[in-house]
Amino acid sequence: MVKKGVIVYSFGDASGVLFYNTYTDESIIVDVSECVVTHDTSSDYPTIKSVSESIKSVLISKGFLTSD
Amino acid sequence: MTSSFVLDCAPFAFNVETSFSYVRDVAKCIYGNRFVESTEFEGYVDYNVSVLNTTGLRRMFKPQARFLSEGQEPFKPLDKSQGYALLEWGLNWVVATHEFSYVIVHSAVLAKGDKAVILPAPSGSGKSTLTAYLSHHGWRLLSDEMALISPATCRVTPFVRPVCLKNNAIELVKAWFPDVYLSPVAPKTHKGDIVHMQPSVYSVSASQEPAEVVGVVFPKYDPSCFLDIYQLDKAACFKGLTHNAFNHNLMGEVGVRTMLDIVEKSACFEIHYNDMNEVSAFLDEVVRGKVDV
Amino acid sequence: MFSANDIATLIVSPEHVETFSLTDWNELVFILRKEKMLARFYDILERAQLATCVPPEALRHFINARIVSRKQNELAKKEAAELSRALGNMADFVVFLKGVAYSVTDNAASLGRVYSDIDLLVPKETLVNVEQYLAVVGWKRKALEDYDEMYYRKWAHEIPPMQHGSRGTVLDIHHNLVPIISGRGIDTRAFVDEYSATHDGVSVLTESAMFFHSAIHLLFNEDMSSAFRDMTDLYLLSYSQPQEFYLDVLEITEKHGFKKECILAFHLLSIHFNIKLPLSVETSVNEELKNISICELKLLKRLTLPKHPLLADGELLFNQWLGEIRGHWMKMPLFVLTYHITIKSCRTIIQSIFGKHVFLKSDRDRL
Repeated sequence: MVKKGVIVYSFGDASGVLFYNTYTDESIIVDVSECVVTHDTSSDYPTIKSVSESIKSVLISKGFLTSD
Repeated sequence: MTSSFVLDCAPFAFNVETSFSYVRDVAKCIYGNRFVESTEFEGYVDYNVSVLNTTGLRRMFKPQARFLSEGQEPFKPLDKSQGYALLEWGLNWVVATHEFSYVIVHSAVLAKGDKAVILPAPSGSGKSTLTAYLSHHGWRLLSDEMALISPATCRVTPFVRPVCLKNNAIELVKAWFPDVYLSPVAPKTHKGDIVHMQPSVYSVSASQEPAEVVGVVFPKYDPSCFLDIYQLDKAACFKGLTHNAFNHNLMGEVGVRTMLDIVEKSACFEIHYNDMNEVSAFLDEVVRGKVDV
Repeated sequence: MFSANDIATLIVSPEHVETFSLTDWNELVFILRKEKMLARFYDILERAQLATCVPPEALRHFINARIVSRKQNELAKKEAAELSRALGNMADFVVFLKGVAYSVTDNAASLGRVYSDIDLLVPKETLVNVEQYLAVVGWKRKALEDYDEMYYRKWAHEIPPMQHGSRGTVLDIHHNLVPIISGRGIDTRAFVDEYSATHDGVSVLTESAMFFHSAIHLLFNEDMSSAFRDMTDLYLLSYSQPQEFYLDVLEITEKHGFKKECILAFHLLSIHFNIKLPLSVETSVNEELKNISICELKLLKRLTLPKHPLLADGELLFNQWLGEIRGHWMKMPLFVLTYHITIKSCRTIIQSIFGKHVFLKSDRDRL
């Protein structure tokens, strides 16, 4: 699950998926092959549909995702 | 003995107090009718700054210039001959550290009409020489140092101030534009020899007209390259832009989303160049939306 | 032209802004900015539904300050939570003080607060371990003048402030609520046992103890540059409290001393902000004031108001210096004071001859 204050954004040209923590100002751009994000029009925020295990553990350790 | 004047430099007005008559004289030449005596200024003053002589006996045998703003002194004193440069750097500091009504990117901004290109670049990339040239060849200068972007928009507000030129660029610009006012050289600053070049009349006359960002172009002077153009993907452009951003972190989510919006809506390139006319032609295509992507 | 008292009156009666001209607003912004009160005053205006009175030229400056204040507030809470987790294993108590404590508890004094540092209190015997741990996780010692660093280590027995390498947050780590050098220490452990509370995993003092500590900090400290802001902290901590609050504060002084400081704080609140004290407290104040010289009272009254040069009664450098001398005198035994003051005075004289920056390490070779 995405931590509070983290922006998740998938660039329009599929050049990457941005995770930006607005509390710590740390950010990471993940390859689209490792993380798929969908944008449901009913919500302002995108949903993470899938993420590879290796990237998931990086995102958790860097404080972008919670471990559940 | 100090004197005071106001630099009415939209979108801000700075009241400047100085002990150095030469700082006042240079400011008057650079800012023209935007230089107003404090006693005659009737508008709202946003910030008070001072460039003063250092304290104590030192002022007599080795005078130095200090920059102060409302009780804060962000820089070490410099030699008196660098006093004007200190004022201009000080004004940059005041805006960068106090202004959060704009997302601020360290970059030049040039426009044709109401279409602007942001040129983020670190010191030493040749950005200011390029800006100086283009601002006298059909482009209006919105800023040499900082893009003031209104949050949640792609709109950039002009902040027209002198172009800061270093070392070899000084002689180049003197040769290109012998009639344009340059400040006296500030020798041996941490950036080398420095002058400040008066912005073009056209840029100043349009200084209250914002523009929409349609391009983000990272320039790099390379004597071996006529003009090499590299299209950037959005992720790379975002990285480069945030690397040059001052304050988006303090603005939280809206700061980041503003940068994302700019990147998505703009043509994004990196250019290596040695020919300024070629750069001008390329940027012209960018603002007209005619670049083949 | 405003007087210092006019500014204090605005805190309690912000409706006076309804008659302000653009020039008044322009001056007010400069005064409040210098006193670090821009965000706080804007919050006060909003609460009084007067924010629409602010002209657009001035509004931008209030909003700028608010953005910084809110971000700092957010960051302070986060730093406090992380430090509590990290240091909790190596110290019996990790108590956050002053500004960050106001934020953590969302109490009235967190209103528009800006921070220069995060203050925390740990047991004395853990200071070395704490400093070592912080150094490992990216905190570095802030550059100070060489003499100030020695003062911290040798005489105040504390770690000089530390600054986070990437975030820039400054941490001020204390082991006593008052510097030990004054010979008037507080039994810190007993104080913490009785007067601490936990909010979301972070330890802070109770509100009456916060007031007690802030009063000591305001009146015992030699640095009076934020005195007006600190005075408004005390105002916000107390103005909506029931009468028992003041009695609670006095009860703390019965156990831990510093009655004079708290009485002075009450007195200043009543004269600056018209706070109505309970009758018994007012009687205690009047009694205690008989033992304080008129000169000291006048000095403190003036020093705890704004000092901007734009004020009709501004430019208080001399009085500020006197106030700093008073602060030193309160804190240090005489021989230490003489050395400290002599060094500082000599330095002031040397700086006045050779220029202000002569004692920073990187400037020595300029001489």
